[in-house]
Parts: sequence; structure tokens; C-alpha cells
Amino acid sequence: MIIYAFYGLGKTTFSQNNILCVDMDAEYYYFENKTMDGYVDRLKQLSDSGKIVFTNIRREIMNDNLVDMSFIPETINVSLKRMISRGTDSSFILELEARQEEIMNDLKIRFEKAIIIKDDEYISNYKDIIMQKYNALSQKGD
Amino acid sequence: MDKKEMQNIDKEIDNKQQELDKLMIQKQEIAAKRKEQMKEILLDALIIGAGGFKVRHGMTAPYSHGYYAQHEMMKEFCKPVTCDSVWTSNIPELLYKYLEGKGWTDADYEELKVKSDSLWSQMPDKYDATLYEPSKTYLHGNHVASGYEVDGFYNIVKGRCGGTYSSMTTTTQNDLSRELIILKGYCAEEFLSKRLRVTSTEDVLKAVYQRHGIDSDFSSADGWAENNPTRCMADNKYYKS
Repeated sequence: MIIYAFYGLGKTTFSQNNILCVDMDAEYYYFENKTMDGYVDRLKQLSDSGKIVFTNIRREIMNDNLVDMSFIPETINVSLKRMISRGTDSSFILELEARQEEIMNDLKIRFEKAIIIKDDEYISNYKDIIMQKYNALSQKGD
Repeated sequence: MDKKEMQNIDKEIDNKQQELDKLMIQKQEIAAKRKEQMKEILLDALIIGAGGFKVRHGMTAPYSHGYYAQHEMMKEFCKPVTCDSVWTSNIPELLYKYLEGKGWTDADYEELKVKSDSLWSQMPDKYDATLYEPSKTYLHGNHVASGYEVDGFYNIVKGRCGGTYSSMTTTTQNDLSRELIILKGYCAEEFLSKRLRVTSTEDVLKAVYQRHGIDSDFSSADGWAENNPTRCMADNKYYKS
């Protein structure tokens, strides 16, 4: 199962606390590999092996129907506040701030059925829904 | 052989040695000059984006963005372009050494020079308001000035050549990189970040130059350029006014 989550919504924390989950952060993948080649295949591979895979994949390499579930912030500020508080580099914050309208429009178009994360919420608030979806997909796969 | 003949031979050897030393010095001077020319070709290529070389904007670390010099095929060479006016010499120096290791020859440099010159010759040479009108495309709002225009510096200072964050950082041409290079790379990323928050480009430039103790009186932009030739490369083609 592949889950898209925008920055700062709690995918890393959720993944660290759930043995079934893997956090496939696209930023780190690109920095380590100097390319996004192989990223989508890796997501699928992990998903096929029974993992719940979190991704913040950029639209440039995203295929239709790649993700089974998605989480986006109610406004960009939900993510920005959390990223600032955890010390994310200002160059990255700046980019999100500067492109917020474009980013939010894009997210809403790309993830029509996304769960909207509000200011006081995290992905972990939706653990039951994630597990229900995971179980349903697993049974379907069987 | 008598003593005099021996002395003559010794003298001749000394003369030949001196000639050889002179030739060696000349050879070193020619090599140094050649190296400077090669570095100039590399800087030129980086600025115009020729032969796969380019100053890019993008990820410098996970969740960090900035400017860096890179070749599209030799990605292992990647050097940050930062708040440092000497990067225009440091990066070509490092790149020269890197390419030396790759076996680059005079022919490779000549080929690169031809590509750079061709791109430079295609550049518009005058500010054209219609060129900088907001674009209707979704991602890239405006073109940004490049400063190579006859009156480019003036129009940069007056903020007539702004762009969106996307157009300033991610367009193929990456005009802003050239603009910042023209401004001698003074605080490239700061310039970018401040310009997004402060409406006047002139104010940003004033603040940056004031901090560096550089004349920041832009009451006459072209006058400033004339008074500060090393700040905008006024001596060569990167800035014309």
C-alpha cells in the first residue's frame, strides 16, 4: 500500500512507530542517488512485499493510480509551521512559501480524495483508517 | 682540448642553459595564460549554460535548496554558488582541475567556446518590455532580466525584470543565475529570498551592498555601474552600458 503525504504531516513519526511502515522520503532518495530513477519501482516493490509505504513523491514522476491513500494539509501553513519548528532549512521553507498557491492547487487536483490534515492533527490520528484500508487491500490481493 | 676551448664550451653550455631556463619560463607563462583562457571559457559556459554546464538552482541537501554549478552529464562535479564574490574564480579553477582529470584537451575547450559564443550571440541586446510581461503559463510568471542587455543593469535595479520564484529558479534558461553572476554573485540566495519579501529590487541591492561596504547609492544606476566596474563585470560582455 502506497500513501502520499505532504511535508510535515507526521509520516516519519508514524513510520517509526509502526513496523509495517516504511518512509520513502523522495528528498533523501534524490540526494543519495542523484536521480529519481528507480524510485517508483522501489515504492511498488516495497508495497508488493506487504509494507505500508509513505512517499512525498513529486508530481513530475508520479503515475496515475500510484497511491492508495493520500494526506494533504488544510493550508500550506499547517506544514510550514511544523517544518520551521523542527529547523528545516530556510531555503526550503522559502520555496514552499513562495509557491504555496501553486502547490496547494496542484495537491487538490492530484489528490481529490485526500484526507485533509488540520492544524492540530497528524497522520497518526488516522491510524485506524490506514489499517482498515491496508487490510482491505491485503484481502483483495489474496 | 686546451683550457680556452674548455672555457668556451662551458660558456656555451651556460648560455644554452640560460636560453633553456628562459624557454622554460616562457613555457610556464604560456601554460598559465592558457589556463586562464580555459577558465574564462568555463566561466563563460557556466554563465550562458553552454555545453551542458550551468549554474542551477535546486536541491543542495535534503530539504535544502540553493545555487550550484554542475554539468548535466558529469554530476559528480557539483559546487555551491554562495554568498561569496570569489566563486567566479574558484569554481572555474576547480572545474578546470576536474576536467584535466577527465582528459580534456584544447579541442574540447575550443568546442565549448564555439558553443558559448553562439549562445551569447543570440542574446537580446536591449531591454524589451514585452519580453518581461507576465506570462500566461501556469508555472512561470515572468521572465527575469539577465543584465546582458545594453540597459540590463538599470532595469534590474529598477526592478522591471522580476519573476516568480519558479521563473527565477527553475526556468531552463535560469536568467536569474546570470543576473546574479552579473552582480558578481553577491549573496545570490539572499538576493533571491529578500526580493520575494521586499518589493523593491533597488532596496535589496542597497542592503546587500551596504553590508559589504560597497557604494550603494543607486540614484544613477548606470553611474553606479561605472563607479563599480568590478561589481558588475562592466569591463566585459557580461555587462554593457
